[in-house]
Parts: sequence; C-alpha cells; structure tokens
Amino acid sequence: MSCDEINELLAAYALDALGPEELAMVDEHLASCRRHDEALAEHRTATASLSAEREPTPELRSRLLDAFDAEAASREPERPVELSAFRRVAEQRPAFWLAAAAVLLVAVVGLTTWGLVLQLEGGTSDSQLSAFAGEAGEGRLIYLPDDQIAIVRLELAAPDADHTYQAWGVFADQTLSLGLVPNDGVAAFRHDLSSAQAVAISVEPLGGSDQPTTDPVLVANVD
Amino acid sequence: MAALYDQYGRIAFGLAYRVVGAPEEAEDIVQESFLTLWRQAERLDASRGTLRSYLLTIVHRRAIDAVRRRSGRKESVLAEAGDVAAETADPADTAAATDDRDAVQRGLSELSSDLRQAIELTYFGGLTAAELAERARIPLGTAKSRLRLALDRMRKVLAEPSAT
Repeated sequence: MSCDEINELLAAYALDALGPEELAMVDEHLASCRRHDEALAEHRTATASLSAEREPTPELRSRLLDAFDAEAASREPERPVELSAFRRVAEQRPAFWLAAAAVLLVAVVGLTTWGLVLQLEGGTSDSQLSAFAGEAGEGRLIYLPDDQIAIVRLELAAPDADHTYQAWGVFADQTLSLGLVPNDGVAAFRHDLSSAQAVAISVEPLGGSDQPTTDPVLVANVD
Repeated sequence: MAALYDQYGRIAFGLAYRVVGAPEEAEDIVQESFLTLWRQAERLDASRGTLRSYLLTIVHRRAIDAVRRRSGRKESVLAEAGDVAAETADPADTAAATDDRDAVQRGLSELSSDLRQAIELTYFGGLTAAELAERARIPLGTAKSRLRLALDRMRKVLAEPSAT
C-alpha cells in the first residue's frame, strides 16, 4: 500500500473505522514508515478531543490499583535483594561503570529517540522515555517519576538456560539491582530512579546476582 | 498508575461510556485499558501522539470491539445519530466535565450534518467507513473523505478560542 493510499485511510484509521483487512494493511505500513507520524498525531488529537469527561464510581480507582499491584507484584524479583550488598559496587566493579558509560556515549551519539520526554497534557506528571542501546539488541525504558516505576521492554536474544537478564539502576556512587527481566523481555520495577544516571542490563546466573558480574549488554539513560 | 488514573480516568470513562452506553461495562473497559497501557508501554511513541491520545485510542478500540460484538447495536446507532445533546444533561457530572463536554459540543456543532453523522456513526457507533457508506448510501470514497474532513474541521474548531 502506497503512502498516498495510507493518507486516504488515516482519518478512518484514527477513528477506528477501518475493517480488519484495511486496518492490518495500515498497521503494517505504519510499522515501517514514519512519514505519517505528524498527520496521525493530529488526527489522534482531534479524535481525543471528541471525548468528554465523566465521573466513574470511586470503586473503579481502587479496583484498578489493586489489579495493577497484583500484576506488578508478579513481575518483581524472584528473591529479595539486599541493598547493603550494593554499597561497594562502584569500588568492586569499576569496570561495570566504565563499560556502562561507554555504551551510554554510543547511544547518545547514535539514537534520535534518546531522552524523549512525553509531557502529559494539562498536568504535572511526566514520563520519561528512553531507548536502550548496545550491540546485543535494543529496547525501551519508560520511567514514571510520580509512581517511581520503570518499565523496560528489551529486544534481545534469550540468554542460555543457565543465565538471565538482570536490570540495574546505575547511580553516581553505586549500582543497585532493579530485578530480573523475564525471557520475554518485559519487566517493570518500582524504584526511585530520580537520581539514577542510567539503567543497565547485564547477563547474570539464574536467580540473579547481588552485584553485576558481567559488563552490561544494554544501557538506557535516565534524565 | 494512581497519578495516571487521576489525570485520565474521567476522560477514559467518558469515552468508554459514550460508546458502550453501560457504566459497568465502561468501567471494565477503562480498567483493562489502563492495564494494557502499562503492558504496552514500550509502544508509546511521542511522535505519533500524546500519552492521553494513546490511552484514549486503547479505550476506544476496546469499546468499539465491545459494540461490534453486540448484535443489533447498529440499528440503535442510527436512531442515536445526532442525538449528542442527550449526553449533556447529567447533574452528576462535575463542572469541569461540563466544560469539557461543552467543548466537544462546540466542535461537533460546527460540523455539517453529514460530517457530524459520519463521526457519530463511526467513532461513537462503531461503524466502519464501508458500513457508513452503505448506511448513508454514498460511495466509499465519499465516506472516507467525510471522516477526514470532519477531523480536519474538529481540529480547527477546537484550536479556536471559545466564543463565550
């Protein structure tokens, strides 16, 4: 399907008024073509403006947060991590920090989506969207400062059966475990990363490590 | 998540309710949509829309799917088309919601009846462009053009300062 044909369908797409076949064709086209980003954003702004606020029952809020907590808990580390174990990480594994910084530098130079900030409309909340970079693959990091939640989505080959990916918060003076990343690459962690400089991913033995034992394979900065 | 919900819960519920017309079903859609937003957070792409519009896209697709699964819904959609005013007089709504709704009304009211009907039938009624063409007895190309013109017009109207 050509870009002109996509442009003809974009309004109907934004209104969810396409049949399954055309919807699939537009989705496929948009997955690899960024020429329509601006028009799509404008159409979505217009469709979003068709909505009017309405007060749901107070129970919805508590129900949603309960469901969210249950889902987030299912993704937490498999075993508790002793924070005290990380206090001397910077001294014990300076190579980890240096390697993280090196990957970070490559990422800053090479990625256009770096440090993209999604400013929420009409509010004080914001979320920070960063890209993971490294030779092993790629991924996204979204950090919600108000909720102190970091969401990672990695596109990496699964580690071998004896290893796992582990996420780390890299701070000026220490590196803290955020938790393990399941093999599907999606994980969420609750941690205050407001003073972190980066989130790094390393390959660790099954069950994770108290401190990084290998150099990071991916790094994303945290503004 | 609490902060996100506090900011966007009402607009998400307003949209879901407007489409499905049943409060309990609308709340289920809102809850699932927020969880979907959480699960699909990696798909957020600021160049293709804000977080608000992305969330509302999720809400709308779920609501439309629910509507399309119902038999007989499309018949009632025709009867409801153009009857947006019925949505404006709920005393339980907050003043902010009323202002918000006024803005929507203002935008829709600026559309010609053909364009307003196109939005009503598709965005709120769940018809596809092809079904809109069939219902309105117009060529498919015309139906798609109406949707495009309607969104263009809405965007311009909403960008203008209120007359009041």
